[in-house]
Amino acid sequence: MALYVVRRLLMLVPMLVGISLLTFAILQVTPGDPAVLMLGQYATPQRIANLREELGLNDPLPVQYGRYVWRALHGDLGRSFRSQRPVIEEILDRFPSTLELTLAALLLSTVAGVATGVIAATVRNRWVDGGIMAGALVGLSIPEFWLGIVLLIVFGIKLKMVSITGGTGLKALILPALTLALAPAAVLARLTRSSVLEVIREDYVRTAWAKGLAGRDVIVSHVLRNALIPVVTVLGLQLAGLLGGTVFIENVFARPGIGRLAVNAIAARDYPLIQGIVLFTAVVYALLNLAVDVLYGFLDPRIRYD
Amino acid sequence: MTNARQAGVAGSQVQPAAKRARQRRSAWRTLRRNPIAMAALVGFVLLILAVILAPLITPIPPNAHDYDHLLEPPTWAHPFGTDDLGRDILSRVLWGGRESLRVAVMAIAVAISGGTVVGLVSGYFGGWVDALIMRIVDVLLAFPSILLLLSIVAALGPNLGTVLIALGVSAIPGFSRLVRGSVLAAKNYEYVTAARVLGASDAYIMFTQILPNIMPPLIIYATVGLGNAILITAGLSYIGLGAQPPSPEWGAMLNAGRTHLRDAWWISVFPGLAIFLAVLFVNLLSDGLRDALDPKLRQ
Repeated sequence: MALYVVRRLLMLVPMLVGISLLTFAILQVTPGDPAVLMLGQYATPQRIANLREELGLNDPLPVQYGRYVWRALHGDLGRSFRSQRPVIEEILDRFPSTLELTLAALLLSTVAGVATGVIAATVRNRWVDGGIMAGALVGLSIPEFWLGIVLLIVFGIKLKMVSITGGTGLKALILPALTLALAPAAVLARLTRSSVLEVIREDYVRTAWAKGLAGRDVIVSHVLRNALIPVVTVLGLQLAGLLGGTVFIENVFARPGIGRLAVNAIAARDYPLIQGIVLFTAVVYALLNLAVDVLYGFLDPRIRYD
Repeated sequence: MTNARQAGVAGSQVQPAAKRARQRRSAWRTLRRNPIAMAALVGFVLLILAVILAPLITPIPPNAHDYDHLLEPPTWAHPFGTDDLGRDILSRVLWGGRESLRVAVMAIAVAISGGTVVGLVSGYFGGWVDALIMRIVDVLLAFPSILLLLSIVAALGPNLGTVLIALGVSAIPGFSRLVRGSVLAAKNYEYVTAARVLGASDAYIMFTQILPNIMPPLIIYATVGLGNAILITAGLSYIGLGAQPPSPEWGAMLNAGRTHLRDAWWISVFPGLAIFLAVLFVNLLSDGLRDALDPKLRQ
C-alpha cells in the first residue's frame, strides 16, 4: 500500500510541472506589457521600465519561470494588480465558500444519483425506470446556470423563500448546491443503473437469491458493494465537473467563491490573480484526486497491484 | 509491379469498404427504428433550419429597438416578449442560435481535426512518439478542462472567437486519447498489414485505411462533445467571457436578462429553453447513435 501511495505521489510531479508551465504561459502569450497593464497606459516610460526591472520581466524566460515556481512553492503567488493584496490571501478568503458548495453538491449528487440508479435498475424497463432515465437525460441537457436562474425566479422572486442577492449559511447553500448537483447526479444515475444491471446477472447474486435472502439484503450486501466500484472511480471526474460548475453557479447566485473571483479577475485582466486561481484550483483538485485514488486502492486491492 | 501493387492496395481496400457500407446501412436501420432518436434528429434539423432561415422567419431584426414596446410580456406580435430596449426576444433567440451553434460546431470540428491527427500519429507510430504525446495528453486530461478554458480566454481576451479556440483546443486531448486507442486496435488488422506490405505510405494507411474504420466511436464522442460545447459556449457568454453585447448569443441574452429577473422573466427563460432543447436533441441523438453504431450494446 505504501508503495502504491508513493507511486501515485510521484505521478503528481509531471502534472504539477505541466500546470505551472500553463499558468506561467498565460502571462507570456497575453498581448501587451504586464507593467503597462499594471500601471495603466498613461504611465511614464521611466516608471514602466522601473516596474519591469522590479518584476524581473527583463530576465530570460527560464529564469522567470524558475523564480515563479520557487515563489509558488513558498506560497507566494504575487500580488493582485487590482487590490494590491497578496493573491494567496484573496484566494484563501474565497476558498471556504467554494469548498462548501462543491462538497455539498458532491454529497447531494452521490446520494441522489446512486439511489435513483439502483431504483431504476431494480425495476428495469418499467415506467419508473423510464421516468428516472428520462429525468437523467434532462438533467444532463439542462444548462446549470439557466436552471439556477429559473430556481431564483421561482423560489427567490415568486415564492420569496430565499434571498436573490447571495448570502451565507445553510439556507443560501440549498439552491446553488441543488443546481450544481443535478448534472453529476444524472451521470451517476446512468452509471449506477448500468453497473447494477451488470452485477445483478453474476452467479453469486443468483446464489444469494437462491438461498432465500431478502431482496434488500441481496441488493445492499451483494449487488451494491460490487456495483459501486465504477461509481467510486468517477468521483475524481465528478469533482472536476463540480469545480467547473462553481464558476457558473457562483455567478448566478452571487456567492463569494473562487469561481466568481476568477471571472472578475479575467474581466479586469488581473493576471497574477488569474494565474494564482488556476494554479491553486489545479493543485487542490490534484490533491483531492490523490485522496480519492488512495481511498480506492484501499477499498479495492486489485488496483494497488495493477 | 507498380500496377500489381496499386491493384493490391485497392484490393485490400475492397473488403473493409464493403463491410463499412454494410455496417453503415445496418446502423441507419437501427437508428431509424429508434423513435426517440429519430424525433431528436428531426427536432435538431428543424432547429438548425429555423436558425439558418432566421432572416426569413422573423420580420424583426434582432437588434431593432422599439421604444413603444419595452419589457413587454409574450403577445401575438412578440411571442417571446421584448427586452428592456424593445428588442424582439424571438428574433434574438433565432439569430442568437446562429452564433451559439456555429461556435459549438466549429469548436468540435477543431477538436476532431486536432485530436484525430494527434491520435493517429501517436497510435500508428507508437514508441517514443506515442509515449511523449500521451504523457502530454495525460497532463492535460488530469486537471479540470474549465481551467484550461479559462486560461486561454484570460490570455487571448474574452470574446466568442476566443471561446471557439479555447473549446476546440481544450477538447483535443480527449479526442486524441480516443483515436489513439482505436488506432492501436485497428493497426493490427489484416487489411492494414496488407497495405503496408504492398508499400503504401504511412499517411495513406493512416487516413484511408485506418481512419474510416475508427469513425463510429469518433462520431459518438463528437455528438457528446457537441452538447457539452453548446452548454459551455452559452455558459461562458453568460458570465461575460464569450459573446459581448449587443450580440443575441443565447448565453449573452441570459446575461442581459439578469437585471430584469424580477420584472421580465421571459428575457431569461426563452434563450435558456433554446439551449436546453438544442442540447437535449443532441444528447438523445448521441444515445441513439451509440446504440446503432456499437453492436455490442445493441445485443
